[in-house]
Amino acid sequence: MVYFDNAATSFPKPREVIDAVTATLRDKGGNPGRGGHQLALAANRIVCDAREAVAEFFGIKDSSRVIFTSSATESLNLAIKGLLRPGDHVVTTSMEHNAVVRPLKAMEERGVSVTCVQAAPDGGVDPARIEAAMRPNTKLVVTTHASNVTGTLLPIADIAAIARRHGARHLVDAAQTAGIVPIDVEGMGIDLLACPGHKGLLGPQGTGVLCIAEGISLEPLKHGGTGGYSEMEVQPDVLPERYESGTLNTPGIAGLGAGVRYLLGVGVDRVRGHEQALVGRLLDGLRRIPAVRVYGPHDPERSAGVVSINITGMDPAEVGALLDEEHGILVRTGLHCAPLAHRTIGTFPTGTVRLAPGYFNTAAEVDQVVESLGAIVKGRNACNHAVIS
Amino acid sequence: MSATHQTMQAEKLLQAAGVTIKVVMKPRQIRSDCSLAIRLDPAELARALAVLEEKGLRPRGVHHL
Repeated sequence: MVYFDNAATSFPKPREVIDAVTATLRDKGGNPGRGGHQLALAANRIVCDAREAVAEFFGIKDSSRVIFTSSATESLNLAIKGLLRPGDHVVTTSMEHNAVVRPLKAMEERGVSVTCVQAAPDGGVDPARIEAAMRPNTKLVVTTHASNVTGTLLPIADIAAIARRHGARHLVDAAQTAGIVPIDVEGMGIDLLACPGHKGLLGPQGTGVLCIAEGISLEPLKHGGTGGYSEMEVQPDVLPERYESGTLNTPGIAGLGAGVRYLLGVGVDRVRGHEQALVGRLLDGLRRIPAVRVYGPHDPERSAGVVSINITGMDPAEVGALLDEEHGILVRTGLHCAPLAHRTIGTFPTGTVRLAPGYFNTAAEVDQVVESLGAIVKGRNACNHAVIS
Repeated sequence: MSATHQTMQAEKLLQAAGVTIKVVMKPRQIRSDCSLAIRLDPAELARALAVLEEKGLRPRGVHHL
């Protein structure tokens, strides 16, 4: 089996991640922040250690500004709904995932106005277009760091500077780049960084992170128990507890902490180098199959490790099924929860076949993917199916 | 400390500095908010506060029981 769907979730996970989850479930199963007995404190230490690892990983001095959520989607909802008020204006791009698009649509119904800056057909965004869209009441700029469809990297440090110049905040959706491309949150001037724990950070599903810069206060998404301050009937102000009501996913956070420590050991530069080499090899191979159309940048430097393709005359869903059933290659096809991005690159509504190698994929597997696509191209006229839906 | 996370940070710092401490539920005489607190020998209090101050952690209160 060749797993090429790391843009959806990373697989496999390092041994250390699996062991951390198991050890927590087996030995340290108390509820963190609830009670003072040894198992509760053991759980507390796991959460605290993981939080500090994430803070170190993203160059954040104060680990209390690292919030654990259930996913990047929850992080984005917390940031968007927590910051915006009726009358605010938001600038975003046409490459965003529905985890950005849908909360913004919901906020439009509450009196927030949104300007969507059009990206180029390869997914690139010109910062000058973002600047041109800024208004006096622009409160927030929301951009992906890299498209989950084309892998195109956006210049987030430049965009953060534009937002700052106009007195607005910048929210970065780092779902496809956290753990894959170096991110120095404080060094790059990023106000809000949302990412999942289960993709490039190599943690389990059910984990996510929102990093909130100093001076930013959000209305909480959830109100409820926080462990301390129980005598208060209102949500406390203190971070991170203000945004973490309810029992945390302690086994998941243990795994996320282990994943981040694994990456701190390997070095994100090494991950980036490896994935860029795989993407480069993949693009070289695909170039030799005339029936394959590649979307997005053809330069691995501009890509975060995701490549979208189509085979002329074939439905991407059919290509994906053949890859899975006949070649043991696992990819995601369709719109990838990013219809705007597909409209931008011209593949709406059928979508694309998305190839997303990860740190644990190899050059030999890239060659296998290319060979399999070649075989599918050769055999495409022989397909004859009935489909009942 | 102001909340759970800061208490756990304080525990790590103080243990690394060799201060003997125990994390406990905050005694009711102080406050009934289900929070955690750090219990230690009064003789080590000054050193503990200095360690925390150096790292920017300020306790909400110091109590002698």
